[in-house]
Amino acid sequence: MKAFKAEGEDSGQGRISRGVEITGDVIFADALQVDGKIIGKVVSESGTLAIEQTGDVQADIDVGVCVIRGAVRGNVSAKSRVEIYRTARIEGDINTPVLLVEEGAQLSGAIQMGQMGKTGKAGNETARPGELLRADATEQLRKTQGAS
Amino acid sequence: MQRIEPFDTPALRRFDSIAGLLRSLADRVTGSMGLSKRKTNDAQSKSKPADALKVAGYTLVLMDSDGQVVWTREWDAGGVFEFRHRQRLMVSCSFTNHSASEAEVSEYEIELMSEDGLIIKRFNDSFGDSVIVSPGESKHFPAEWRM
Repeated sequence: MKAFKAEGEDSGQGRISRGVEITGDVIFADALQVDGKIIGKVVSESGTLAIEQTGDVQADIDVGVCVIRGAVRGNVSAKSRVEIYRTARIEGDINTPVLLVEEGAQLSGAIQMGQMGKTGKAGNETARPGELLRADATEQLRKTQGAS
Repeated sequence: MQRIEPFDTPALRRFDSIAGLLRSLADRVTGSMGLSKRKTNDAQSKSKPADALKVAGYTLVLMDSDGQVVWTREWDAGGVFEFRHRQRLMVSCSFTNHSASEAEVSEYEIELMSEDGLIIKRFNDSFGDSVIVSPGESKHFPAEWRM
């Protein structure tokens, strides 16, 4: 059975298939879909981790984007965002600047937003000296079409 | 192998013609009720949940007591994602004042941006009193939407 299935030669997408169990650290670059089980740690600098309904991750997760439809036991930290759908079951804390939660999702843990770890960047940009401005020009540049 | 013959008896043909007559009668009745039927459809379409919003980024806009923009910044959401019915979206932005002067913030807005940079949803909040962010100090600005 293949543990990792490439979607295309250079797609950079990996897959841990249903029935496959990995114990240890999993490091990936672009995207990883988990239908199987991971015990240990999952790390990616800016990649997207998708834990599908049959996926079971018993690990601390530190990635760019984390999409959860399966089970997670561990802390989830995402630099860009976390999406939790109704089939998800999570036991652990979540740390992210953007969190999407669908009705029916089971979440047991703390949600910490806007206080990313040392490597976290998104949502935490800072004004540098001289950057504080009374920005009439900035306001003009902002597109407001379709705003509700 | 046993062959299955199609049913084609005189009794069945008679039943088919009666069914056709009933169908045409039903069409006439529903045709005369066309207006009320259309109204029902309109009402159904209005109650349909809004389509998904495709979110690509978000912006924090800080304003002073005069409504002037003090600071604004846009972030990438890490790719486009869909925000749909029965979902809740929470966004938290942090501002750290690295300038030498104090920043007075009376209101803030967090806007969801589409892939082409248009604002598709806006959350704004104002404080009772202005918040002063001293040089070197950080402050978090949260927003939450429900679909």
